[in-house]
Amino acid sequence: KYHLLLDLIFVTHFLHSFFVFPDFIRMAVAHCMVHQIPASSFMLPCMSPNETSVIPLTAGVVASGPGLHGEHGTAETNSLVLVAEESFLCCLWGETHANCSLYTAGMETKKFTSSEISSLAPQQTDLSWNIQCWTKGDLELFVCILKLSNKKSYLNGEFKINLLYVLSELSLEDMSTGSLKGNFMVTPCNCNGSDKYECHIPSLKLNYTYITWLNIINGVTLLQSPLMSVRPINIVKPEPPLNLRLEMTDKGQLKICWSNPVLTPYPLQYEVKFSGNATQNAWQVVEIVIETSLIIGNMLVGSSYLVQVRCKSLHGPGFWSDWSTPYNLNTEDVMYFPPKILTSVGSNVSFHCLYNDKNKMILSKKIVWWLNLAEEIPERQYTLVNDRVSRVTLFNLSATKPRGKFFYNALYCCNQNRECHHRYAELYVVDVNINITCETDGYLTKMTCRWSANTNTLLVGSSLQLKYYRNSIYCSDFPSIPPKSEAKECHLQRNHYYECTFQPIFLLSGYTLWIEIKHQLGTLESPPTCVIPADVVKPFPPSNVKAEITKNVGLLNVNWTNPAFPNSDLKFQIRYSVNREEILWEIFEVSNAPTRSVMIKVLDLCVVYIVQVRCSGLDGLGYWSDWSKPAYTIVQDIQAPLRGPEFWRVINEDPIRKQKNVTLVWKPLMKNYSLCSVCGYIVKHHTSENITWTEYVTNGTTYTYPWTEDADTITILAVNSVGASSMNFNLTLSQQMSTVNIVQSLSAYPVNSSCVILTWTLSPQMYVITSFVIEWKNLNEEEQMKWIQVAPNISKYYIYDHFILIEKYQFSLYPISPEGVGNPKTTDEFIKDRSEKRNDAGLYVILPIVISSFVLLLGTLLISQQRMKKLFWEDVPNPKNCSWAQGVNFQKPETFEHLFIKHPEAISFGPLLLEPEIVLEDINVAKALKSEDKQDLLAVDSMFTTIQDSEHDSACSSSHFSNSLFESSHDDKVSEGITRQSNIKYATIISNCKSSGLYEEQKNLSGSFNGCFLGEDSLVTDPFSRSWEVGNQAFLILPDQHPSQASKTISLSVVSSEGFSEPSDHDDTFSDGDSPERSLYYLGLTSIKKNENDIFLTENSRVMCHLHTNGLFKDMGFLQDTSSDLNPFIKNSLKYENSVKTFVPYMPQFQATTIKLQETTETKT
Amino acid sequence: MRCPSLPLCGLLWFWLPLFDSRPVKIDKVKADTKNLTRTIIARIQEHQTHGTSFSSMQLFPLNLKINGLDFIPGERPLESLDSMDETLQIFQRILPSLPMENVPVAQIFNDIENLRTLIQTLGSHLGCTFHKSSNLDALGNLTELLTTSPYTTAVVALDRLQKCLHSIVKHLDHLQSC
Repeated sequence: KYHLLLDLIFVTHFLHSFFVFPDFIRMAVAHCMVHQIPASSFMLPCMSPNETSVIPLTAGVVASGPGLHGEHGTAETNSLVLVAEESFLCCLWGETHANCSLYTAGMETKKFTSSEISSLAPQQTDLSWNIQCWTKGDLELFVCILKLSNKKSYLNGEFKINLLYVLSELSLEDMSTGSLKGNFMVTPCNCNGSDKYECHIPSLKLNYTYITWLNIINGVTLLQSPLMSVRPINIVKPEPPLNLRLEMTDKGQLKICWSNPVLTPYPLQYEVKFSGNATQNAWQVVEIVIETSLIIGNMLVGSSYLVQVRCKSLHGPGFWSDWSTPYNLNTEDVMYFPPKILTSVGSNVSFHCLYNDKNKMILSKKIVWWLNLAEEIPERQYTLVNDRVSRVTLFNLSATKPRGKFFYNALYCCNQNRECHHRYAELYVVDVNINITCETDGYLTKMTCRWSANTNTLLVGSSLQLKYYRNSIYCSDFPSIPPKSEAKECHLQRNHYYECTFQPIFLLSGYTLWIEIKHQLGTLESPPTCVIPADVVKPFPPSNVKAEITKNVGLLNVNWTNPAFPNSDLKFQIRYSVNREEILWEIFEVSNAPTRSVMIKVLDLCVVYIVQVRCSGLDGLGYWSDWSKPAYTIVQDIQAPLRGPEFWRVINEDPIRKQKNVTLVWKPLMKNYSLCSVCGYIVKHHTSENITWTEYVTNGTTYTYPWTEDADTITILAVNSVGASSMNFNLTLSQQMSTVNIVQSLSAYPVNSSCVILTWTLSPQMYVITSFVIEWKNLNEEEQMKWIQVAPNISKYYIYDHFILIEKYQFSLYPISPEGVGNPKTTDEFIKDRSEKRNDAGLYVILPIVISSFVLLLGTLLISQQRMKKLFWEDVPNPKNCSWAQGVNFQKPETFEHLFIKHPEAISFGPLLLEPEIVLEDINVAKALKSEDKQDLLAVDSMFTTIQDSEHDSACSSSHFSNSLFESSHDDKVSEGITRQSNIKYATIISNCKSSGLYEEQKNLSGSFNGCFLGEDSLVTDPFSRSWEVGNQAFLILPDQHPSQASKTISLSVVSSEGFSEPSDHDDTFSDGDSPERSLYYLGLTSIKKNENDIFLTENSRVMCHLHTNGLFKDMGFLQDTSSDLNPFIKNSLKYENSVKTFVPYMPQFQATTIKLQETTETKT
Repeated sequence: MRCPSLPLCGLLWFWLPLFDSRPVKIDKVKADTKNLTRTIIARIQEHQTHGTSFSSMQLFPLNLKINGLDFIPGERPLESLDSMDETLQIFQRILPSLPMENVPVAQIFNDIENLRTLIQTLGSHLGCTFHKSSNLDALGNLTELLTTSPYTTAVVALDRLQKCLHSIVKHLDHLQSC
């Protein structure tokens, strides 16, 4: 038999530590000791029996005590436990004394006297267990690990260990040993490895006290530990902190942040460890902090440090958690703070950036920000937080538009040299403007709120929840989200709306409602809205709606019963319509508070009306109720008929009886007159003898009676349930009157198959016509006669009926006067002419239009012809229009002089040539001239102007001259002091090409001569015609004599347009182009000297004229001694000549005269 | 730069919450009080008139006096805002215990809660003080009464509540002082 002495020594790590941390040891003195399990590992040594002798135990047993008592703070900490066969002994073992108590099997306590002991060396123990017990971080499991630290050889290898425990709500002081008896629960400890055992107590109650001990069985030997007590809350080993991350303070300082483990039963303290990346133990900095963040500054950023955090209870005992997963401070080149932001539309956000480009920090002032790699953010939105940290703020954000799979805006921190790192910050902007509408029901007990979320704009993974807060009464002006709120469960409806119901409600409380959008990136809230249920009431519709048309008054009377709620004043809308397929509602609104009925004026009284009513709060808050159930009116007689029916008579003569039967026919009274029905008619007779009698007609609308009296006035009254009509038509039948012809003529014009126009004229008569009656019937068919009563003041009537126009109809017009029915006018044929006439009338309209269009077309053609003429043919003046040619007989001139001396008769043709005139010249310059040439040209021009002025030569009346470069200046010059008629003179100056070839000259001329051309009608037809075509005028050709100057061909037109134009009076004379009398020639002036190219030839005259020039006009001599009879023009032109040169004047003249001129010229030269 | 007028700013911020709530128009409060009182009366009457004969509470005959229910107020007219508040408070205690399925008791309870707030608002406008109900302790035998004669208790409670409400409406018409 072995008596095992089990020494139980509570140590933390070493014996000395007990003295250092006395709080960890809790001891029970008095009758027995219960050892507190510390928040650390401890030793459980077991000794062999012979070694127990070191403790002289005295068997002084005391009486059993009532309970277990724990004591705290005792310095004596070691204990020895002697385990007997049937009982065990728990001792308080100190350095000097061991106080032991013995428990019997029945948990009775026996006390042993204490004795002095010497300190127990660890090597004395046979068996030693290292034990650690803790509560897991999930706060549900109690774990004890037993590890064998040493073992004596005589002990067998395998152990079987059980953990026994009792759960007690009571504190250790209140527990008795007796209560423990038989209540132990046993949990086996599993072997985990060769010498490691693990015991679990599941489903922990954190604040209860657990009394435990261990039973260790080694073969047949039982080892028992002393009683141990523990509160699981005191030995919690929390989970490590989570989610380590870097954040930045507003001042740009970096801080490492972490989150608490999910289950934290008490406040925690944290330990932060920094260590080199390569070797874990290379360098460590440990800091203990209370908050969940630690500012680390920017120095460590970019280093290769790892950060780890662990936690334990801030107050009281507990284990440190494991270290968290390490966080590397050097993971990113560019760091954004925060890396992701979730925010709402319209908000402002800021991002910080630290840019480490290839181990070189980029200064914050060199950082630029880009959005979505597309848009550079303006610099004014940057803030330099410090040297290295740049902050950008984005204002008034708009919702992020998803780009494919990207639901965020990417924000880039770039270098000034436009280099960006690929990493970016993510900005999620969500539109949180969710509209919440609420509606209180008609009972005022339930408020239903609806809202819809646009799932397209929400981030994937968002969850929405309606939150609310209730004010005790009313709403605040600016609803805000209060710190306290409640959630309301809402259900998605089929219409994609969420619906939540508040029931019962506080009618006058303000419910502040908003939607909370939760996402892993953060939580957003929609703008709060405040609703007072009493303000959003949708009442029940009014009930018992009744509608009727009131008798006599004829108004639509609607009455109803108000709903029970709300009790405040209501306003009502009544909608009514005639009950037919297509209902057109009319709405009538009443806001008189106590109203429960309304009278509405309606047009049609004899129809069924459908009426509905709805109500709403008078204050305009809340909603309109639904429409009530429809009420229908009943059609009934409201009044006596407004008037009697229109009627007519048909007189049939009975030849056998020789009497006339009068049949009265009338049209049934319409509802708008009958109000609303007719139950019969009263036919009232009033004879000329003042005898009156009535007949009552219930069925039908005809009544026949024999006509006996000469004059019989008939009245027909309509009768309904209310009474008889008061306004009625009268018809007097008079034999005498029936012979009077009042209608003079009657014509019927068919318009179409449904309309015929009837017109009539009346003969002057003495009778007052009260109305007409038109009768018509188809003569070919046995059709009943139709009639209509028309007003007396018209003479034309459109009859609408179904007419067959090929059939024969008879129309009769009866004039009706108070004296009786006059003789009718009858027509039985349609007048067909009318339609033709109508067509003629159309013709009268169309014909002038056609004629005027024709005239317009002709005019247009004429004008266009003129235009074309002017476009293609240059306007050549008719010489007969020239003033000097007036009255001259070109066919047979008497002398040359006659041609140029003004004919006295010419005065009568128009303006006097000698009188002052406005003279306009035209000079054409075919080529651009050099500046020095311009002087010459001006000189020439002015010279000719003067010549022509002094000469009073005729000018072209036509104004179609080409305008030259100098036109305006000349105009100005010439027009000075000239106020009367305007004639236009012109000169054409052509620059001579240097090559001065004949062909080129001609080309130049043709290009430049826009003046009075004869054009294609030119009489020139010979092979040289080309030159004449363009040159049918006088030319002054000035070949350039100076080598330095470009040779010029200056053409001077001395032939006025007037001279070439034809007088309009003599159009006939010139109409025939082949007429010999019309032979008209132009004389060319050209230089005779040496230049053969400058020869211009007239065809028929075959006169060659040469003009010699000496370069400048001032040197030119020109027929100085020509007889005074010669043309004054030539004379005057010679005033400018100093040296006489060959100068051939060019004039229109006859062939014979030309020869004469030539002769004269030759003699002079 | 630190704001030199920070204490002033702080003072303003301190006062701001006091002005946060809408300046309540007393006429509106009075009108709402009347409307709400009428609504509660209508709720009681709705039940009395529309319920079936067995399940509903019949209109209480005026000439019948029930003994033993003196702790339920309503026999005396209410003449002050304080007494109105006190009476309504007692009914708030009684109502949840009443064995009535067809009367929207919870709703009436909420209505009374609102009504009390309105009366208190009116009172604060007039400068009145309100006391905690002293009769609340006397409700001790309510549980016992409800077990022995629940029908009587329910009918009498509703009737007296109605009378109180009528009294409140009447008083509000001439409300001049507390």
